[in-house]
Amino acid sequence: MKLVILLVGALVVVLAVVLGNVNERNDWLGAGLLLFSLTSSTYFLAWPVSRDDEGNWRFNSKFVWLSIYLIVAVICATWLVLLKT
Amino acid sequence: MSGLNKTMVEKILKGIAVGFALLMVTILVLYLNRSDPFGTIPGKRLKGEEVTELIDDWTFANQYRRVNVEVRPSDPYSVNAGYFVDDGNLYISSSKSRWAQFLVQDPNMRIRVGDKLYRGRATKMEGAHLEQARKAYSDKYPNRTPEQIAERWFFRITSR
Repeated sequence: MKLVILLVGALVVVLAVVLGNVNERNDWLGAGLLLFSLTSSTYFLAWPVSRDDEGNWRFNSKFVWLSIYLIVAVICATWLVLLKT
Repeated sequence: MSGLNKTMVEKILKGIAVGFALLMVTILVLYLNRSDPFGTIPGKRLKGEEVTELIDDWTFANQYRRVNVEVRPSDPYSVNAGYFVDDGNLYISSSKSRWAQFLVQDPNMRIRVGDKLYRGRATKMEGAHLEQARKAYSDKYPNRTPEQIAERWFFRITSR
């Protein structure tokens, strides 16, 4: 199911670029990217640090990928809100 | 979905994330070092050859689709702006946006027409001059409603 939503998001992005080009007024592009980045972030759900087998705190590299997708999602959400106001 | 497929999807998503990260860094660097405005994103100090002679007749500006306006000389802020020429006078207008408010605070500005920069002073139109400017504006932009036009500020640019 998650993969299907991811592909729908990617499809919306591709169609939005093909039909409306890359510009700041293309709300379909923003919506597609938002859907894609939010779904992608669910593949990397993790805390910034976690304990390893020996009980030591370690940085969780998955958190980097989660952060990137969440930043993209926040940018897209802001973009859509600004377009609608 | 099998474990192998999930790993593959995650690998692809990591690659896309690297692309996003590089794109965001590039956009951030370009934004911080910008000079000219880009679309609706305001720029800083405009580039171009500055013309020192005074301009009495701005009719030549009509050949260009838009002009760039640089306001707030102490910390330049530039935007793409709509304009019109009426009886040789150059006007710019705005829906009371940020740059227009800067212009009210300090009327000294620069305007780029084509690839040349002109130093100017903006005078906010009021009274009979405002009505004349509104009429000239509606002649150039006939699809704007009277309500939209009434909300706009109009500035006449004089060369300095």
